Amino acid sequence: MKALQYTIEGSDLQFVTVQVEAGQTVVGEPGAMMYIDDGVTMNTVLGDGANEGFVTRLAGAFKRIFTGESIFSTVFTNPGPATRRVAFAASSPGRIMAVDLAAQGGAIICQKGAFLAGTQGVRVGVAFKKRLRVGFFGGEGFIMQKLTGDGIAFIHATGALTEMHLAPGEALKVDTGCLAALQTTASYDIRYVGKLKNTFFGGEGLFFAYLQGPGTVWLQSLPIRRLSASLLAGSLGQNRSPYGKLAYLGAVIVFILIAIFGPEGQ
Amino acid sequence: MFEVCLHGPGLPQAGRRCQAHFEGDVLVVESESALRVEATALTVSAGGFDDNALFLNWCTEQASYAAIVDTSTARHTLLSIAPQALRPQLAPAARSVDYQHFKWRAVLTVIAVATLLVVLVLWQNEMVTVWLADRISIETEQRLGKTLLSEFEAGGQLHQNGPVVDAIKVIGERLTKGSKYHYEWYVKDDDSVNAFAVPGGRVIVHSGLIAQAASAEELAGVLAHEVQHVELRHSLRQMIHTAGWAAVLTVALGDVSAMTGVFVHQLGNLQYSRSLESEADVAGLHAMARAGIPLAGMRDFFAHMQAKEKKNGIGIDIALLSSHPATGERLSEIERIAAQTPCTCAPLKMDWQAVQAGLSKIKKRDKTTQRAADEPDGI
Repeated sequence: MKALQYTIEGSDLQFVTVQVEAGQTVVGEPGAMMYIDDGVTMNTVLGDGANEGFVTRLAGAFKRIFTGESIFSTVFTNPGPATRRVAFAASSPGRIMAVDLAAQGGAIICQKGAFLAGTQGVRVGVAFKKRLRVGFFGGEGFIMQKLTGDGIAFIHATGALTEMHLAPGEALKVDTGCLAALQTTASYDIRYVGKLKNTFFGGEGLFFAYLQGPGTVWLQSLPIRRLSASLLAGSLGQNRSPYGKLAYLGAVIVFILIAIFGPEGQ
Repeated sequence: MFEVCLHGPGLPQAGRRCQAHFEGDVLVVESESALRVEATALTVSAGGFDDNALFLNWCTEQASYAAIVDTSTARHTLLSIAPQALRPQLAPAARSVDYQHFKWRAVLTVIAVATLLVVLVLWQNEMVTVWLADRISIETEQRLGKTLLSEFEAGGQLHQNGPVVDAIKVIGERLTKGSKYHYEWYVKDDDSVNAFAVPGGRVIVHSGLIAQAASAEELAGVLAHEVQHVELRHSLRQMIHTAGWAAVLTVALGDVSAMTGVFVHQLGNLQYSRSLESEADVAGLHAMARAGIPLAGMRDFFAHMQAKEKKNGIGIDIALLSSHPATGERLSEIERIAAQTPCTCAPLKMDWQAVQAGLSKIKKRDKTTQRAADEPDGI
């Protein structure tokens, strides 16, 4: 099979144009389509568009609910003979990146909703983070997407997206939420930021995500949480002052004191 | 020989699958050229996204390598053939991998069992209620009843002595022979026709009921019915239904005071479901048969009350009928059971007119004590 031809266009609000050859098929998230050449057939299917029995497809669709994707996928097929274009646009400001799954060992893990489109046969499954502490504090929750197959998958993330290769044993501390995707060989844990001062005033929260090689990791510069927080703060006319944090800390201390020395209940 | 996925400089992103084995204390990884590492130079850790792979890490002067053991067959082979020098490191890492599997299997089992329990409880609600009611000790039940009784005493005068109470006691004790409960019998000075049982074996009969009952057998019929609510722990079962099992669990643990407020409120308008009422009817008839009291009394009482209410002639509240509606269905059911139950019965030897005459004495005594009781309260 010939390699997939595609171009990613735009700088911060991107879309990807895929050249679909005669007889080829690409799969996209419902609503991600931007335009298609006349002649490309569009078909909405249950699950991720892989050719399988109904029950397997239903199970696949059920899994997709947990991963932040729609239970349906849209399949675009070019009946030929000419090569036609299909374009998918990202739903938020950020980057689209093409990941060759075969080069990553056949599987990568992404944050929920990261999958945008892919060649047919790319499966979207559930990756369940088994460590409780990472599920609670790792910034990605317990459920992530697992993309498997040997095709090309387009993933999108908010902000700039960077790919990093970690050598065996090489580790990276990442702000929780900035992790967009990682290869399955990489370890994903959390580390306490250390020091009370950092915890309360450092602005990084309690934990870092701790990524250790070997493996590739993809980081996003602007988690949607951070973006929405600054937009919300801007729209409410607030600016973040350190006194807000101090007041919060004070309230916590007062609450603890009341809980310990307060009037005996009943 | 076991399969590993080798990562290191000059190798593909996804790593390279190759075979590895030990030669003495040396790990040999058969990549393009064989890599040889002393076991003492290896660091073992558990890792990967799922934390289910064993990592054999080592560093050379130029670069670092990792051989990932990610299939369970390879892991078992490694554990069996690893040299002694590696074992102290290998064991904890392998345990951590196993622990990941175990932990989630345990969590899923707990969730499954909990779900199953909830389904069972919803499905077999009545059975669970009976089982829970049985867990509450008789002492707790009696304590509960005592608190409830004090609430009733506030509402009107309760009498525990006198010829009327004695008559009730005689009948009642015949009906409750051999019971595990210790019964106490009360007459409440109230003109409405009513009788009820408080958990733990306290039966309260309104004076209005005694005035309206045509014979001692009719009174026995009502008592037999009410006593069964105690014997079968109906009030507890009803409370479990309405107050919820959590509340009853606190009572089962002995904390009565916390819940009496709720129960007192409930008992004021405590209504048993129709199935509980007919259960009490049947068991009551059997108790009457055991005591040798004519079974017709129960049917007669309810039928008479129903007829009186229809005529609307007596001008007093027949409260008992609102909680025990004497429908034709119920009366014929009572008749049917009564006919089926063999009984060597004899009418009660009791001067019913004399008992009813005793009521007026109670009334007179009340008037004096009532006034005395009212003044300090000022209500």
